[in-house]
Amino acid sequence: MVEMSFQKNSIVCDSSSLISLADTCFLPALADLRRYLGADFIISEAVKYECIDHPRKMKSHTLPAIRLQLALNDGIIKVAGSQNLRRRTEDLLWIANNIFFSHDQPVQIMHKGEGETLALALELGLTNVLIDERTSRVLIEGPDVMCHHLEEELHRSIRINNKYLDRFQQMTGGLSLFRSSELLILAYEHGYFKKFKGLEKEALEAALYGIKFAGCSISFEEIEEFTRSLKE
Amino acid sequence: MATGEQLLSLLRAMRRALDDGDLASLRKTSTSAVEITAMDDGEDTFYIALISHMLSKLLSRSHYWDLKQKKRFAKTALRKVDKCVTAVEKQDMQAYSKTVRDIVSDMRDLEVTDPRYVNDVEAKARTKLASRLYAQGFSLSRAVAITGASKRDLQAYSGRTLIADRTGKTKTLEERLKHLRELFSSPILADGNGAWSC
Repeated sequence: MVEMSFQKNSIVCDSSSLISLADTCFLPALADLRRYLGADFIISEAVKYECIDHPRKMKSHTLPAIRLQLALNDGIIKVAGSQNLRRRTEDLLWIANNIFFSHDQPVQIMHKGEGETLALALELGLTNVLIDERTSRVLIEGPDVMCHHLEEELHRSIRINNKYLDRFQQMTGGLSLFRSSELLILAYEHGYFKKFKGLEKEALEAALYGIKFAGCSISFEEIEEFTRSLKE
Repeated sequence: MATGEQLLSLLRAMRRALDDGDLASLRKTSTSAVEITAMDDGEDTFYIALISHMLSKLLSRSHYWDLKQKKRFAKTALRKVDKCVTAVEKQDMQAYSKTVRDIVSDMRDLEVTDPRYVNDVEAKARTKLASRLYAQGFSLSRAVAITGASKRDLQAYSGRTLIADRTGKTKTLEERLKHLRELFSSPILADGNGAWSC
């Protein structure tokens, strides 16, 4: 893997967001934002495999994968890596998967897919991560929320290993996470929805629901609250 | 890995439910099995989750079976579950693995009889089980890795549930937007060929 350097405002993307955006045909918004930002949308090899290589072998999922392949071919998204990425991913996963314990057994909640995205951001010295997946986001932003959630869902007491939690927070504390929903709102603010001629607000609302139904972890309440503010 | 006791308990519960034609218990067994799979990171229990779920779906569709065929299928499945129980009791995990895969394969073979949806039942079962794991707090990729579901299917399925509404609020939308707006505060219109589409 060729090591590349990127502008500090570049965004590392998880497959969950690219799948949501490709499924709802909003990859061009990414292209527009890239032009405004003058920075890159970056993915790891594992993310490429999850959202392009693997689905291209499945007839029902080929079309969105082709859209993403085109975005890759045209430089809208770029694949990057680093020599140390594998080790960094393994470290991050080991730590993340040893934060919560049930009956002295670690609850392994994270997997390579998300781990490599976060590790890539850290390896490249970038702070912006686009991720629609809920678990990793909550683990980074509110581990207590996640602990409480696991207890409720798994009907067992969950203990936090503070040593690993501290290490995880040291590693990921500097990351800023956002979802494709926020990206679409930003695209709207930069005029991407003008093509909907007079129906911009309605189109944005529809886009937010579309992205939610494609897997973005935004709640109905958040969408409703935002669209109310749009109409005011 | 799940203990032999856990496996036997799940297999016996599945057998009882199948014998009684108790679809609710089959689904309950599936839920218990997938939870153990997620905690123990083992394939052995996942197959019990998958089989129980698929059986509950297949057997619930009365139009799909004439009674004789249904009984014959259930009988064969029961015999194979018994074989699984014996294998686990003898700690012969190779035989166990082979037999559970055989049961899934038998269900796939039903597709030949009626190609409408059996394969679909397996894919849907995997997606449903993955969605349950995601709802419980396991990551998307972890849920996919455990169940073999497609990530896109899982996202589409979970996107239509209240998973994101129940847990996941850590920052407000406005807080996230604020940061993103700052990031885009000094736009640079790079050279481009106009709008990109795909």
